[in-house]
Amino acid sequence: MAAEPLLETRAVSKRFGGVQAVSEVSLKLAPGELRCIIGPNGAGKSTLFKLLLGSIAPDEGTIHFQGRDVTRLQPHERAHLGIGVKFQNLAVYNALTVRHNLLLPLRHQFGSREVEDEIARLLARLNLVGTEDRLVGSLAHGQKQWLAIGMALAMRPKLLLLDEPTAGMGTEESSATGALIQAVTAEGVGAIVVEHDMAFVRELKAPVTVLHYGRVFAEGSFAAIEAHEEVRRIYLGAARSERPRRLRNRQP
Amino acid sequence: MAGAMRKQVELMGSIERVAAQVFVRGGVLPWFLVFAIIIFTFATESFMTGQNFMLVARQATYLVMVAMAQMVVLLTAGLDLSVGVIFAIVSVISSMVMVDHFNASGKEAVWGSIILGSLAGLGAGLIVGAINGVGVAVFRVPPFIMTLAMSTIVFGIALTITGGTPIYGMPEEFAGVFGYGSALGVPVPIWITIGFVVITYVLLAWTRMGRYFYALGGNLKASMLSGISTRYYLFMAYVVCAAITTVSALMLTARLESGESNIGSDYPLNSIAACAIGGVSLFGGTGRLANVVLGAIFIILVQNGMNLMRIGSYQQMIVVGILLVLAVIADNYRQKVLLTLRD
Repeated sequence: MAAEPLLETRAVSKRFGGVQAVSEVSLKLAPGELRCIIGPNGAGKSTLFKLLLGSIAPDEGTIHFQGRDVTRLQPHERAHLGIGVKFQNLAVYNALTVRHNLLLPLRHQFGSREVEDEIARLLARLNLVGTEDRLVGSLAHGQKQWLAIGMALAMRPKLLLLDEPTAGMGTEESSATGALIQAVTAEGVGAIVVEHDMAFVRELKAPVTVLHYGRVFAEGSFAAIEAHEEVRRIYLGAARSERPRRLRNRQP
Repeated sequence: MAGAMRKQVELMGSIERVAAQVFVRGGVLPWFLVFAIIIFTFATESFMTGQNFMLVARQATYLVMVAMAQMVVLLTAGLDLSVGVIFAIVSVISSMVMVDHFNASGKEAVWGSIILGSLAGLGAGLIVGAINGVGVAVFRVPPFIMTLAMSTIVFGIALTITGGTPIYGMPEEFAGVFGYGSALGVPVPIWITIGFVVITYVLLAWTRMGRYFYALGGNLKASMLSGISTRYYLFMAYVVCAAITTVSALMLTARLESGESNIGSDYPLNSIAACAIGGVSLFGGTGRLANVVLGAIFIILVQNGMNLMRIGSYQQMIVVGILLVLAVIADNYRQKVLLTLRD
């Protein structure tokens, strides 16, 4: 008997006016599995991400988390069930210290004594030791990104949703982020990474799902996807000679 | 030569830093208060008297309450422009119910009428707050539009009910106790206000709901992902705001000894001004209750001082507006300095 999937979407679709943003997307993710979702601009990555975290509801299809139908649950309810989210745009409290940022999600889970241990554990894991009493507004960009991941981890999620976790990071910071994500999944936490940066996707060595016009266009290992002629074509468009991994399709 | 100049520049720099530290700790409000008190003390004879200070305290109670109410909503990065018409509808509804019940009982049921009327007023106020809350939290109407629209709707209702005329005939005890009464030498409205300052302080500083109000305004997405029901707590912010405003409205109705649909129109601006002068960020997430209370007292104090100096109410409007803008500019600067000092 196959183990129950951690997350399963069954033919979810979402339409905005005349635009079919996501169309019959079915995904399965096992506990501890890491999956990257890629696709050109407008492929429906962001919409799918929002459907998974619950800020919008699908028109059709269902989303199951640990066997439970969560299709109609609000984001905070999904957070309590164990879905941790890190947005591309930083969802951190700039006017508070690092410690206070972590306290907010931690307070749901732990008593006051355990909270201190948890903060120490998270700081070590996030490369943020020594910053706990600094205002988040004064941190470097990469550190804020890690804190945002840390706030998601503070809820002790079973599934981590990450939207462009390395946006605006340098190469070293990106590698550290990749190692962090791999370490977390090695502990049995499932993770879905929506990413633009092919170099980072390659580094994660995880299965890739390619979205195109809201549909699942291709699935497979990174090597298979990289070699996939059709994927190259949709990614490259007019710029024929570029290889996908060099397409650092960054928003300014 | 160059060395001496550098030394001078360094000295200037350190003086600036000390001044900046003092300003950063306390904000702009203590300076405003000190300047106002000095000016009014020298410009008038009656300002610096115990009697006048009691008058200021008594007059300030209503605004202190509304400013605290406004603060709750501002913390969530919202705004409530309907606090003024909450005064109108609460005053009209509570006095009508009170008068009706009082007359129907043959002027016997004094306290029954007062309690019933007050509860009816509270109900009316809470309904306004709940509608604001649903509009903002569920239908995502911008708070500015939602509460502005409610202002005209509710004002229209209050005028329709009364035809614009005051409602008289409430039991005298209502005004006697809640408008003019005193206990231990301190007016009852001041006692009630002190009580609500304590309650609001406990709510904001010690309860989960209070922490979440700050969290919502600090970063809505982060709050949601930290497991906070943003809808529920946004909704509650408007309900709490309306509840505190309602108590203020009931006290003012008692003071005026009549139900009026034309009261409260100054409170939206003045309550926002009190919060801004008290350092509450209009972008949400930061603000201290004690400073808001002081901010409200400051506005009443300035009006009182200007009255004593025989400055007309038209000119007073100009002064309050200028002070508001100055306070916000000063606070923006303070935030900037705060970040560089901590770094």
